[in-house]
Amino acid sequence: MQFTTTHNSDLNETIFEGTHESGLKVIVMPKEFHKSYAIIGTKYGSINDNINDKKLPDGIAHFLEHKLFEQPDGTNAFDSFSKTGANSNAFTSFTNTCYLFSSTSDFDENLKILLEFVFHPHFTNENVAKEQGIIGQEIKMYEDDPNWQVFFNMLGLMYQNQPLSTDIAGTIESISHITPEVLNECYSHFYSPNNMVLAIVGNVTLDEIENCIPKLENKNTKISNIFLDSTIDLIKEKSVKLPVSSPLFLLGFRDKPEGDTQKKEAISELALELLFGQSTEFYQKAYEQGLINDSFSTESAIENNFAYVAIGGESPNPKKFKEEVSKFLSSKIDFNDADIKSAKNYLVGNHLKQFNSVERIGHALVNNAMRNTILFDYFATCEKITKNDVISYINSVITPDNMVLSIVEPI
Amino acid sequence: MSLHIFYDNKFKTSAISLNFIQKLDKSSATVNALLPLVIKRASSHYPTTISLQKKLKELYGAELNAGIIKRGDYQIINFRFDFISESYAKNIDIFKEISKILEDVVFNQSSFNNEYFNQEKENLKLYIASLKNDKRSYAIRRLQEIMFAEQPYAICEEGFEDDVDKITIRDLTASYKKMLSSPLEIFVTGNVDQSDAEGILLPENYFGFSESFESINNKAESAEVTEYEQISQSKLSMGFLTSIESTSPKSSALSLYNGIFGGGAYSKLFNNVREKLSLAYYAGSRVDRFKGAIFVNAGIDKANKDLAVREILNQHQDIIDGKFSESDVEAAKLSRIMMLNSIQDSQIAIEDYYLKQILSGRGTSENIATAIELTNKVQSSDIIDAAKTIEYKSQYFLTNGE
Repeated sequence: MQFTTTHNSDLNETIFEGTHESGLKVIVMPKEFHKSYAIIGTKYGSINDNINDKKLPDGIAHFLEHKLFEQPDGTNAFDSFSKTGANSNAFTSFTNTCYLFSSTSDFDENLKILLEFVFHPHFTNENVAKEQGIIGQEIKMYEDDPNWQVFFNMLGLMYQNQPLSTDIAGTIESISHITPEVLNECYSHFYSPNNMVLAIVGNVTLDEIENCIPKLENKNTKISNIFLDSTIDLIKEKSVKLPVSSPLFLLGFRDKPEGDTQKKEAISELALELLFGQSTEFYQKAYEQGLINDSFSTESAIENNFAYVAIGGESPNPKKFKEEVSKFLSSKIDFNDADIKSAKNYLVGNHLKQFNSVERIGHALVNNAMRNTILFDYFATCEKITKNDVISYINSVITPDNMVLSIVEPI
Repeated sequence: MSLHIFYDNKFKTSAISLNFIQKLDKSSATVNALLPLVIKRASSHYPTTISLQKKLKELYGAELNAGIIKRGDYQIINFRFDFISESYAKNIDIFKEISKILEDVVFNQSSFNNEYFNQEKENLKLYIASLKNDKRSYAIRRLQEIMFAEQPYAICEEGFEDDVDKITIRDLTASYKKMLSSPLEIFVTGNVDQSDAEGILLPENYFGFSESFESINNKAESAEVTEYEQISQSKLSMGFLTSIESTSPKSSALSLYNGIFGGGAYSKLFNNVREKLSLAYYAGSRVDRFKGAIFVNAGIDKANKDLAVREILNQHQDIIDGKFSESDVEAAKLSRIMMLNSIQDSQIAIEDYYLKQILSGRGTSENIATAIELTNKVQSSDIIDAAKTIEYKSQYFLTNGE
């Protein structure tokens, strides 16, 4: 395998990137930590609701993630990892499914175990039936989670009837339609090495990594892009009741997925910090009035097929808070150069922190690869952003007309 | 020596963690919980929250977190500064800047702003009430209150909602003075300069934790409580008690018992309650070494409660009966060793590990290599002996319906 080397001297980090003969992308960041971390992801998530227009059951990407751990000899991948002491896990997001492990020894052996189970599916009627109960409990657990509910309801307001507002795990009803046959179909289609990325962070060499990758077929499958309509009407508000002590909310602003995602990500993060950061007049006033507290946070999600920003937390009166935001956004918004510099410093500091963790770096490498952006470029991208970029973004996305409010309130 | 410096230039950040240690007590718990919330709002040099926050933001988004940590019977008032290290902060002597803020905010408060005081009282009440929101952790909290009723451990480390309103500024000032005269343990980690770290201006009369460790009193209630809420998934928590103290040579065997029992994906609880019986998505256990307690928690269907309880108790009995393999022991050892080796990869994990060591009377002399050695030496028979000291005590079940 040929690897290209990129070194960032500000960060004092190096990344090696290469493409395996099967099409699998491999990214490696050497790090002298005790732990080494490997994560392999495929561009298949909850929004991939069809194969060539044949509709798939909701929750199948997540179900598949659970089942892939089963091995043909009747054992589970966790059993294999228990022999080497590695810590293994997996997750399904809207856009990808990832399998990972971290370990402080036997890296090669662990990497072989990871790639072995990910590339050898074994779905049977028995193991599928068993998982219904387990995932059923997972679904119920999330039904009780107010943060999960307030978030998914917000997505429903912005993307009604679109795959993005479907729960990642599906429903107990939808998963009851999952069979080994349809799992195999999804696996064959989406788990094609050319659709996948393997990221490794730790005390490793390129040779040892290459030696751990098994022979893989270059299927070169073309995955159709999922189109999400970001122009449909917004639903302005939704409120549900759960046994919480006081209300929590999310105020979302839908954006269109166009343009340079990394640049938009940096601009939106800067905008959120300048408008709603802890050192802003708006935040302090809302905090002093008791409209928000330490639970308040902001988020920006910028992908190739959807984009939004959101702010939220606990509030005794989410609707009043929304009114204050509306008034604020309707007023003249401007920032001075010192504010911009300070906010950029803040973002740099924030992004730098992820390099303290092999897990966070691994995730960031996979996410960037899936999105076709380069992790190291973030700092330079941030540096180049102008006040006009930020104000334009605020005027087009973070506006009173573009707000949706999701609330979870006490019973 | 209560200033502990862990230099490691692999981190891009430096952190300073200050820990003022007091015993949990009903009369002081609430005002102690209020104190860090008010302190972090402002200081003499930064009399408004916005001025302090602006300063921190300029320092590349330096973070100041302040709150309460509970370890055993101790209520610890914690202040933590987390900031990028010198080499990444262009043209700013960042450690010095943070030290000045630290000295001002933590050690030199002169008078508390009345408005901030009132606002934080409201915030504290809301925060205490919100502890019920995460049903999974709430179920463990309730179990602890029931199992250790009437003991300091059962006191909520954030205090009591009903006690907040009556706190006066005078009370707060008195508790601030008390905080400053409490044992203080400081951890400085990351890419730090030794002399910079030692240069932090500490009050003259400060001293470290040196209480002799009180042995486990081996007292816990046997009770089973069910409570009702409108929830989809019921939360079951069960508490067990052991006489093995954290300084005991049997402590490593206890950790491995817990590993085999419910420590991870290789454990009996995961493989039986979840995988075999499909009763749960999560089913696991953890040890609180300070109390000699093992807490099990699982999210299940209401209808399966008796089955789940029976299965959990069966798994515990199986370990007593030696019904586990050498590979189970090996898996638990490897997992624990991996966890111990990983501590050095996280500044928070380093602080937490050594704080626990200090509180249990071992100081920082027993290092991770020793812990690994002790783990490796444990035999199956040690694990069985440890299991025999463990007794099921209490249960808490949060479910729906009436």
